[in-house]
Amino acid sequence: MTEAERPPQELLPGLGPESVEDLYDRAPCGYLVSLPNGTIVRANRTFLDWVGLDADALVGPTRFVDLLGGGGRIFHETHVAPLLALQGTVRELDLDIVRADGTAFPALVSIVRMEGTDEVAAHHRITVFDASQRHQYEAELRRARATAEASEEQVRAVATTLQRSLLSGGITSGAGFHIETRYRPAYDTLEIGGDWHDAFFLKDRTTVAVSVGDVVGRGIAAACAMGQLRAALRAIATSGVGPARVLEHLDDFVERLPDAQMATIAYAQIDTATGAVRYACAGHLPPLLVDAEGVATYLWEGRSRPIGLVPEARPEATATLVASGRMVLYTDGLIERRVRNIDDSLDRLARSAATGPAGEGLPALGDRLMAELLADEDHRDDVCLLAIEREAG
Amino acid sequence: MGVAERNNVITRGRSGAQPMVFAHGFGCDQSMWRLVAPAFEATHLTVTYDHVGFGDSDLSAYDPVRYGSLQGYADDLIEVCESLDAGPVVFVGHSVAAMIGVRAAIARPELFDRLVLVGPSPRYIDEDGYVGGFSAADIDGLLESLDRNYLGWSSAMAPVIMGNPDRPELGEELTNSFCRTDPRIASQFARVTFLSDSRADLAKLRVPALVLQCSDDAIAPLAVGRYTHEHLAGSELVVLEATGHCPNLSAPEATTAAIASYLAP
Repeated sequence: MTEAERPPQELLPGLGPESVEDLYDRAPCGYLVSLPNGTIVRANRTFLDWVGLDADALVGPTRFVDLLGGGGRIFHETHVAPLLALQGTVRELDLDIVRADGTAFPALVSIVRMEGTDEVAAHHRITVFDASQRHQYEAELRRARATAEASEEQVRAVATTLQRSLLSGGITSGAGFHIETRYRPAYDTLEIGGDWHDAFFLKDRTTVAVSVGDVVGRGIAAACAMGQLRAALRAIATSGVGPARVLEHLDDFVERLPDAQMATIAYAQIDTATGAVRYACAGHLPPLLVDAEGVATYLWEGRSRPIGLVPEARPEATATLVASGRMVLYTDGLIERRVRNIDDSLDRLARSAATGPAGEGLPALGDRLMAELLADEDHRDDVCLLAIEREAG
Repeated sequence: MGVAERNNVITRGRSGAQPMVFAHGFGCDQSMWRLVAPAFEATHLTVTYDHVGFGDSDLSAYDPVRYGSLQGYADDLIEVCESLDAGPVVFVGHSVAAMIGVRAAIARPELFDRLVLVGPSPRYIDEDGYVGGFSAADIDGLLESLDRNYLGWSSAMAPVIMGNPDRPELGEELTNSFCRTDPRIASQFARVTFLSDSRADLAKLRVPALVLQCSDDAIAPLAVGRYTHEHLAGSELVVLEATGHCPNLSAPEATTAAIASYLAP
């Protein structure tokens, strides 16, 4: 005969009806019976041991609510009692029971209301589980959460500072020119992405160099590669080697920086006195020139492939930024849409740049281009814009 | 959003009769009046409502500034009474709603015929010889209890649709809304309630009032009920033989009888 086939009393001899009292008294949980008004009429041994009370002290003179601290008492009266009255049961209440010595016994309490019968009047049955270990565990979880939150806050602050530093240091104006930049990263949680803009003087102190570039990918890895490429470009260009040599040196530089390979760059240097421009584009969308009359022209020369592994001679070209003229450098996120070919996108930018209100300042132009061109954005990408204006006369 | 939607105002009973407005206290919602309000449907237009933030009120209307003191709740009560447009009402307020009613009736006495204050307390915390029954530490303990039981409430109470075979009149929907409150709102209402001090208001009330006191109330002890009665000119005090703070649930018949007797011509 298997255990499953034997009658239960044979499996555990001695577990007769007379032991039911013991099952109650020494159950692994506290077990109370109270009148509907809370007066305790019975308590098992386990509960008495836990709270350190004699049955005489507990049964009769004490109501369940009296076992709770002041806060628990209010909670009981305003939440537990109404719930019991209306739905007949409450479960898993997290309450402190005050022991005889005044210390708190953390407990999980469930109560069920029994309706009166012919044999016994209405009463409540209350089970009490020791929750002290669970409480310690929960306290540890709360501490861990607080630590994690503090650490996350710190990481965020570090990231913000780092990101800002990666895009910092560009000049915004000098004798005879002004520069405006706009930046909108793909991710709201980051301040920057893989796009950059920069403006700086060459060492002759009269030539202004501007660069806008785009590192493949988004997020923090692209941002770090961007920071290095941007700094390298500035270091190389400042000596005055010219646009073609700048891009060639960057080809060498990214050999040891895989994340920056295939980056695209538009680079131009402007003589602020004469308006003479030297520029080169490595796989990047062409800079846009807008003259004083509002005629827009893309600079389609000086083009070569994106920055990358195979070194080769790169071309550069020249143009003129006339007085009161503007040049706009930008990344693809500003104009490219999935549903539109690139020629239409470029036309749209040229139209927007050329059709501003009369006397529109450079900051207003920057705001308007961002607003107009991003209005139909169909996927979120990094967006970067740099506009330089040569003053009249 | 009108007052009716904002405060989930529900009217029953005799239309055209004098309105009887029931307000719940801290903890749950207008279900607290389920066993009492129906007894007055034959003689009155009964009106029950939820304070904003509780029951089926419009949670989006909860403004922490407006409801940062009992005055915000009193203003809501005034708007409920005005929206009825049916003359002075009998107001029945349980627990903290008693003092909400006192404030409203001081500001707009013409809207109120009589007040029934069930388990009122003008001040819960002991102070300078006044015995309210609680210390500031107890209120911290209450906030901790609310915090500790928030998750339990939402998981244990929310999805379970329980019938009440013993009390079928209560219906099934109670377990879904009853006592469930946004923990932020519950915590603020707990502070507003238990840190309030309405003792100075008592002398200003000009509307007659009944103080309905339980003989054994852990929240508003007998001495507090006496204090309220003594400081409300023209009030009556009735002590119910009942344990606990919610005679509207634990002793609905006695509560109903005491109110009916007070209102009897």
